[in-house]
Amino acid sequence: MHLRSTIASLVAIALLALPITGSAQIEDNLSAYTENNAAGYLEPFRDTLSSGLGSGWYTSADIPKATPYFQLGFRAMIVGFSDDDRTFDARAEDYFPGTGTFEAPTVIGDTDPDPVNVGGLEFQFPGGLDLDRLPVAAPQLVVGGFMGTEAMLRWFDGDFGDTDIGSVSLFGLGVRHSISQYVPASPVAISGMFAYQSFEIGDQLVDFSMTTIGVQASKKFPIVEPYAGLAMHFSSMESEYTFSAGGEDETINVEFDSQTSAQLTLGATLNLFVLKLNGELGVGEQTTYTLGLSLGI
Amino acid sequence: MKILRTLATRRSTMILGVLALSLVLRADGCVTAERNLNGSVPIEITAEFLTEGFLEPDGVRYTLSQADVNEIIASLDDLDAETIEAVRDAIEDDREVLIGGLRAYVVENRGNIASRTGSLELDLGGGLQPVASLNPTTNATGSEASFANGGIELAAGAATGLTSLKGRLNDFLSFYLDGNLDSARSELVGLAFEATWDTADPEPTQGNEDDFDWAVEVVVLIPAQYAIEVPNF
Repeated sequence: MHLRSTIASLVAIALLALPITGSAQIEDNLSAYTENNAAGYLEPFRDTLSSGLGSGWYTSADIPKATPYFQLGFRAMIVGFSDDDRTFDARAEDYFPGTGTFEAPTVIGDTDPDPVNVGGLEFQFPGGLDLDRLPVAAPQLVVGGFMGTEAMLRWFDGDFGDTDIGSVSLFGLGVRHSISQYVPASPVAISGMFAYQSFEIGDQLVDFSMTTIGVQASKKFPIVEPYAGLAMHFSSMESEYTFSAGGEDETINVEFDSQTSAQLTLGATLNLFVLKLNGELGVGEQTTYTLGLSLGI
Repeated sequence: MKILRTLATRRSTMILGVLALSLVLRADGCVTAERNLNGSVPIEITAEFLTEGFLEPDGVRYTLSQADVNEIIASLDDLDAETIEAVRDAIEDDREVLIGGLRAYVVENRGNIASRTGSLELDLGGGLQPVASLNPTTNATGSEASFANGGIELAAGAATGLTSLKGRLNDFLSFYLDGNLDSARSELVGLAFEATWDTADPEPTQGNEDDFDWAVEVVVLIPAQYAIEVPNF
């Protein structure tokens, strides 16, 4: 698949069921990028997946010691980008005389960068999508209340039947354990978390994985339950696509640098009988806004 | 019964809420926005040379034939319909063809292998215009010269010839998009590149003369503009 497909797929998946048309048209535009530039160009998407999928795991730190429960829910995360995310230092192809780097838009940067001109030769870096923020979504099942422990599952597996998007799978498994059960005098509920997620598109087109460790605290009131958490995310991503130039295709494998990022979460949950509504703010490399809806007993 | 009625009411409220949210999210334009994404499609113009014998003040010349231009047209014909539409949109938006760069490579060397210096010029019918100096460290089979490895440098005053070539290519592309292929061909057929080798180290000698096929590729970036929808929250 061409790099266009990478972008189209990421956009489509980020949106999941939301309407999206026309994203497939950027293939020939972006397939002119070689490995180093592609990594810089796509970096905000990697960061989006890291910040977005790293959010929304929990709605409370209170995990009953011996009261079984389950929740089925949906998390919608919106990841905001900073100005620094909009550009990267790109290198022109070797047929162009510039030997240094040029400021070029990333995938979320300006749509129409001016061509770089050196002595009459001009190089056009591909434009971005001009995005300030991007949504990520995930369905989630939670089962808990056994020895103060809770298991969380995120899963999505679909074949879009489209050559540009192809198959998509999200798998996430997490476990949380109540710490406050060992500290009866604790004024707030406290829990610790370990989670692993993998996100794949097509056949090696995008292979993203992330491990998260974190700690949370919450205080339950009659309806509202504010909560806070601190997490560390360890993510990696690879992408394989076809580079097109001179009528020849070459398979390019882009291995992104591993990323370690911290995320502070502040949120609140409305406990409405079998329905839970939660909203949270994630502060880290990028700002993330999460809305969640869960049903369960 | 009261509990069942309460549950039913809550369930109805929830379903209505989800439906309302779904409609809002799916409403056209509410969560998506159109972007015109600029890019380019690279194609090549290739000039093929045969250098043989000894260093001579006269250059070797390659003139684009109708067959050469037909190959360029064929490379455009190979673009898919979406890309052609994107090219049309870019031209309608007053974007122009760009001359992206140059590279040179040796197809086969049957004689003297040497580092060389020379020059490449362009003839659009009004005399030779300087384009680049050629400084390959070797002309062995398969060797390449590029800006990146120092084998090519832009000549002083290259912009004049490149601007003229860019004008020809813009006219060529407009004629092509209009389906007027004869006029498109006339913009490029006869265009010539001339290369002159000034030095070679070691110099060609009797029994070890220059005898190598080589080519210059001019990378042309055809503008493209893709209308896409992106999330807009």
